Order: sequence, then structure tokens, then C-alpha cells
Amino acid sequence: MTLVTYHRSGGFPPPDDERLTVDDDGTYTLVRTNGAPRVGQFAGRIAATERDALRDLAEAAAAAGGHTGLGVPDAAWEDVLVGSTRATFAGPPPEGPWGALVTALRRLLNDLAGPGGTGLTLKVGRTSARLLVSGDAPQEVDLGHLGGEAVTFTAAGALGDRAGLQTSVVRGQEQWTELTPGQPVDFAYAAPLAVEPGGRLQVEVRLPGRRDGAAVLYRLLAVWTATPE
Amino acid sequence: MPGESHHGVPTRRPAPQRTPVEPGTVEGPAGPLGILGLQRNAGNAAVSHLLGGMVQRERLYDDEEAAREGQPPIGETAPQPETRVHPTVRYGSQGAAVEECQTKLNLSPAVTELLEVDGIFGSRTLAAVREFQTAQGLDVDGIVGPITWGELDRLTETPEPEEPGGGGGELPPPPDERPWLRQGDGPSEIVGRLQQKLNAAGSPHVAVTGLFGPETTASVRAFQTANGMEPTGETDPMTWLLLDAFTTEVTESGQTSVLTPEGAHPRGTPTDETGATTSNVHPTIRRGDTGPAVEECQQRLNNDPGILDKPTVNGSFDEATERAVSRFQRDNGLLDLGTIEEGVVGPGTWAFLDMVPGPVTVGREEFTWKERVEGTEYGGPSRFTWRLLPDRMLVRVSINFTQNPGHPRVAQWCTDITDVWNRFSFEDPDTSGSHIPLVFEVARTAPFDATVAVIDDSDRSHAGDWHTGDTRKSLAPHEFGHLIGLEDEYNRPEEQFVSVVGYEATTGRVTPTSATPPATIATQLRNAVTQDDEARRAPDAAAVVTTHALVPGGFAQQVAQAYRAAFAPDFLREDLNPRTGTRSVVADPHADVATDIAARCPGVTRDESTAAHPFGYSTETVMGTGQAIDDPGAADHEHPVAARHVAHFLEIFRTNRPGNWELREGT
Repeated sequence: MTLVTYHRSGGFPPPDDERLTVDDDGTYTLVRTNGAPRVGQFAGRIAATERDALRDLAEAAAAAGGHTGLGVPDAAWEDVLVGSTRATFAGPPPEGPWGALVTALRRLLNDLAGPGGTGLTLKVGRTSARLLVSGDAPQEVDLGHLGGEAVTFTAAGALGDRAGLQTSVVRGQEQWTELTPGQPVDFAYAAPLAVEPGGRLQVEVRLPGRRDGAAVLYRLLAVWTATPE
Repeated sequence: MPGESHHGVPTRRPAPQRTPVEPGTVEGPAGPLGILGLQRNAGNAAVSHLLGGMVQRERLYDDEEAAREGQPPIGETAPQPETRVHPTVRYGSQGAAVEECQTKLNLSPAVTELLEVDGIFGSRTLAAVREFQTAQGLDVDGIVGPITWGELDRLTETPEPEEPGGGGGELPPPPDERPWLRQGDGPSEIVGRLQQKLNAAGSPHVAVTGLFGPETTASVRAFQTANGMEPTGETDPMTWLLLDAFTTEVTESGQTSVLTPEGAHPRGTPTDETGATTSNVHPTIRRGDTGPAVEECQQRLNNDPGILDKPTVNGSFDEATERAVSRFQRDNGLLDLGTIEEGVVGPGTWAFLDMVPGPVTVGREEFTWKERVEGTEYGGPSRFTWRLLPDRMLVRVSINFTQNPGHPRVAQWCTDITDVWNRFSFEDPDTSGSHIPLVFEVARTAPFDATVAVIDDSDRSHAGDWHTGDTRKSLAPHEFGHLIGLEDEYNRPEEQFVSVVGYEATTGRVTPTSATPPATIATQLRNAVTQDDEARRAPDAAAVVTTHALVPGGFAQQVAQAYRAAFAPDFLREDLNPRTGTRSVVADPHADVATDIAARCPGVTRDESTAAHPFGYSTETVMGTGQAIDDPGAADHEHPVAARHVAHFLEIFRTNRPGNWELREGT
């Protein structure tokens, strides 16, 4: 029996396509495509206490009735389904129980996209980054339309330098490739990037892919933090 | 295999009896290189096997991890010839074994950080080992012993990576300048250009498909007939000459198109509190109010020769202002309507005040606008003040940054906005030296025009939430565009796109992406979005788009054209009542294909977006796509403000300052 279904989609390009389903027994399935160091499909079981808390929030939201409204420009649509009661909105979550539920679901979405899934992982180091397949299944991606950048932040959080990502892959034309586990795609930063102590380096990689035969646009985001002085 | 589950994950066993070991065989700070160092340097499994079980046995029993986790000695478990033996490495270890460990950790998707392969087992390597062990279900001790090495080795057993293959199509040849075109030509960019010109010249509208079909022939004939030529339906030199004479080409972000006679309308449609379209962009003001709207009202009242008792222009809606407003309303017969409140300046009174001739130096706009993107209704408030100062035109938006207002990114966002937006000025060529910069200013003082939550993470931003880790330079400038009333310029249907940007639909990809005829693809799409199982509609439609690799451009428009030809006027559109939040699906024979597809798919899903996406258009300006997915490795590139985005302010300037003012790039 499904406890809650959460789907975040669309928004400013590249669009979101995140889906989380949590069942009554705490088992979950998750699909992430955007904004995480690991994208792909994940499954598992959340702790009983967490499940119970989520159930309380879901029941309170459902009791409040459905909700929908005009979207905030550039926001992804978030669609939450509890039983047959649905809340759909784009932008800040609605006040009250739906807002509390959505906040919890957004956090779960980030927390549950850990190791163990099937998809792609972005790893970031001080001088280079690497894209890898997670899990045992090959991943179909178009390396010819891979884009991204590396950005530094100061320890205080201010934006520092930017650099593009360099690979050996010729880009600009379609190059559908089946990446297999253990087959890395490495990136060098197009310019030297200095990260001050306590600062961080954030790398974003965007590339088209196919999952279960459907087009998907991946956006992976990972951060390397310099040791504070 | 003993010691491993059927998933290949080592299982726990009771701790074995520990046997004595020789200290100092582990490479690291504790001692010099031993035999295993030599073995490591030899660097292959065969050598390690030849070194024999004794060394292996000793080495393994030296390992705390093996002892603790119950790994039996290799000698007792019949080691495979391919088994690799590594020295245990831990925090403080150095050398090639650590390098190998780091290299293998870097191949693990479970480890977030990409380590520097420097042979030094420091805190970052330790964290990576712990992360790896956690992910693999091992004891998390940060020590790389045989079990952890085994898991690391397993990762490298995958075949050598193949160089990603070539593929990809050839670049299209440069189009002939003005070729003789006739039915059957194309698909090509030059046919697309012809179609753009026919549309802009007012000939019967044709989809910009890049393919010269019967509709294009009919449109060429109509153009020729209207211009006194023989209606051949072919583009002879004279037809091109006239089309070129009647139309103006424009290039934006590398895409060439043709300007429409209607021009650009980049501002969102103002709506009133009921959601109905309105022309009023002013706030309602009354006695006691203060601010620039009142100041504007006072200036406009003072421009009216019928107002003899002129209010002082002080920005304060005082008794004198109220009297003047009442007088103005009476003089214009507004109070007779019965809908206008005396002494209060609402939409009706503003409409008349705006018509009073004479310049003003200040203006206030406050309205809610809406737009439809990917078949869904979005909207937001727009509030700003403009002032004509002697040396500049100032457009000011005061933003209330909440949650983390002191974050350094806030100051950067404000700079990003002025960097991107402050690039125009007004010049009067008739008066040399007349040069007035158009200056956009972000203030952070009350009263506020907008509220933005500063969220300290790397999630994606939208008009109301700006995330500090969202590094797009276009983020703040784009959202600022919304605050001054501009619509999005991404994923828009043709009609909306053309209306917003003021040029014809771009050609995009005109060559086929599929061997399947467009009509067949159209039928597949229609079948997908009309099937009884509503839950399958969006995924199946998305699959059609994926299978045929449809992307925005001419070929997708061929599919859209076929879809329309086969299934119009049975088109639907989704409607949203912003007051009640109720969504409904209504028949609309004039809806575009993307809208029809979206309306037939329940809910709002990514599959629906995928299915509708190829039939939409985007620009690469500040209001368009933030970053191009095919950007070949470049860092975030500039998505500039286009002249249309500031045209509203040019109009205001021209209305209120004498001269022959033109917009110029540069301040």
C-alpha cells in the first residue's frame, strides 16, 4: 500500500524529473535526475521512526484536502499524492500540513539518493572530476552533448572562479554511448581553480540519457570542500 | 564463494584464531618496505601468486581487519590464482599501494570525492575508505585490508573502457544564398528562411518546417499574386527580391530569423485580482498613501489644465491631492459610471490619468502577470519604480532578501543583475552629445517590491527562492526580468514565441531525425495521448518523442503539421482558474500541438513535458534558456538582455522627454 507519492517535474531547463514513492512498510523507490551527485534509480527502506513521522504528515495533509495553484515562474511542479488526495504546486510549498509534508519529502529525496542505486555518479576532486556508472547496469548517455562547469566558492560562500569541463570526447554532435560500470569519463577543469581553505569547488555536469527507453536529461552536481585552516 | 553473499558482498564470520606476525611488513610510517613492497612494485597478480602462500598467510594474519571480520587465512581457503594480495594500508600509509587504493576508490561510484592520487593516506582518503566501506556493507574502520581490497579489486575487473565512438551527422552545408526553390525542395534551412519571410510578409501562415510542401507553394503564390507577379509558386529571383525587401532578417544567439511586423511583446499579460486581463499596471492609491505612485499621480494631475488647484508633488496623498483627484474624476465623467470611488485612484482613473498629455518624471508599476509555459500557467507580481533624472533613467526594484540576507551571494546577485542589465542607453542622434544611460538598480530597503528567500544549498532556484549554490550567472538577471514583468522565453509554443520575441519561429533542426514519416509519428503521438489508459498517455507519448529523437525545429514542426492536419480541430487546452486553483480541460481548435498533448495527459509530469518539448521554442537570452545543454565545455556563457526586454523603458522615455530618442547598446 502506497503511503505517499511525490513527483517533481519541469521547471527552468534542465527540467526536474524526480519521483519518490514510499509504501506503508517504509520501502521506497526513488528516481533522481537533477541536482544530485548520484542520479538514477534507488530503492530501500526508511527507518520505522521516519516512516511513522512521514505517515503523520501525510495523514494531516490528506485531511486538509487537495491543493493547487498558479505556478511561480521557473519553478518545477511538485505533485504529492496521499491516497486519492493531491497537492500540485510550483514554487513555495503551501502553508500548513502540505507544506510540512513537502518539506519532509524534499529532504528524503536528497537523503535517499545515496550509494547503492543504479545510474550515474559524479565525483569531484581538487583538480578533476569523474563520471561513473553506479550499480551493475550500463547507462546510455549522449556524450556529444555533455556540458557543465566547475565553480569555486570562498569559505564565506561567495562565488569565485569558473571554468568549463574538458574531456577527450568531441562534443557538439550526438554520441550515444553505453557507459559500463568501471568505465569512467574524466573531466579536467579548463582553467586552474584555486580553492581557499574552507572553500569549496562545485561541479555540474549535464548530459542527455535514456532510461527505460525514455529520454532523460541528467544534471549531476557534486562538491569538493577544501580543508579549513 | 566462501565469505561472500550471493550478491558478492562479504558476510560476517566469527573471528579466527590469530597467529603471530612480523611487524614492519606494512608499508607506511610504521616501518620500511617488506617483501610485499617488492611484490607491490612488481605489480601483478601472477607475481603475487608466485611469491607463495607463506607470505600471503603471514600478511593476511597481520591484518587487523581480517582478524576482526573473521576472514580465514588464504591458505585455508584455496586462493584463486588470480587473487591479488595487497598490503594493508591505513591512515598515515604512503606509497604505491596507497596510490592503487586511491585509484580504485576513484572508480567507485559509492565514493563522493575524487581523490588526488598522491600515494598519501590522509584524512580525505580515510573519509573515502569509510564511505566505500559503508556503501559496501563492510565494517567501517577506515583500514584497507583484504576484504576492502577485495571489494576494490572487484571494481576493476570490468573490461577496459572503450573510447566513446564517433557517430553524429555531418554539419549541414551552408545554404545557397537565394536559390530557386519549388515544391519538394528541402528539408533545408533556406526553405525555412523562405517560410519565415512568407509569414512575416503577411502571406498565409506556414509552419517553419524547412520542407517546401503544398502549403508553402500556396503561400508563395499568394505573395506573388498580392505583388502583381505571376503566381508560379516558385521562388524566382524577383520573388526573393520582394521578400527580402519586405522583411528584415535578425540574428539572435546564432539563430537567424525574420522580424514580424507586429513586433515583440516580451511583457507578461497584466491581470487583475480576479485573474482577468487588464491594461492597468498602476496600484490603487487613496488618502494616506505615500510613494512614487502618488508622486506620479500628482504630476499627471498637474499636467491637466482643468485642475486649477494643483496638488504639491510630494508623494503624499494628502487632502489637496484627494480634492484634485475628485475634480479630475468629475471633469472626466468617471463618477457617473457608478463603479469608481470618488477620491480613490484605481484602474479606471489611472486609465484617464495616463492619457493626460505632458511629461512626468516618475512612474510606478504594480501588476500581476501570467504566462503559459509548457502548457502550464505561471505568473507573478511585478513592481518597480522608474525615474527620469537629468543624467539617467533609473529603474528601481527593492528586494527583501529573507532567510540568509547576509550571505555573500546576495551581493553577487545584485551585481550580476546590474552587470547584465545595465548595457543600454538612450541617444538622440539629432542632438549630439545626448546620451542618457538606462540604469537598473537593485535596492534592499523598505518598502519592498519583491521578496526572495535565500536558500543556502545547491538546489534549483525559481522566482521566489534563490539558492546560493545555483551558479548560473543568468539566475538573478533572469528572475529580475520577471520582477519587471517579462515573460519566459523557453519552451513556448510557436504563436506565443513569435509574439513574445517579435521574430518568426526559428528553423532549428530541419533534417529528419527518424526514417518514420512525420504523419506516422503524428499518429503514434495521437494514439498515445488518446488511449483509454490515461496513466499510459504521457509515458507513451514521451516514448514516441524519444524513439524518433524529436528535438525543437523544422522536423518536429513537420510532425506537428501532420498532427494538425490529421486531428484538428479536435484540440484541447488546459485552463487554470487562479482564484479557485481549479484546472479544467476545454476544447480549443486553435490550441497548438504541445498544448493539446499536455492537456490530454493527466497531471503534470516529466513525460508530458518530454512529449510536448519538441514543439516549443526557446531563445538564448536572459529570459530564455539559462545554459545550453550542447554547450561544448564552456563555462556559463552570457545570455544577454535583448533590446526588446528594455523597449518598454524606451517608450516611457520617449513619451516623457522631448527628442528623437533611440536605444543604443552601451552605457
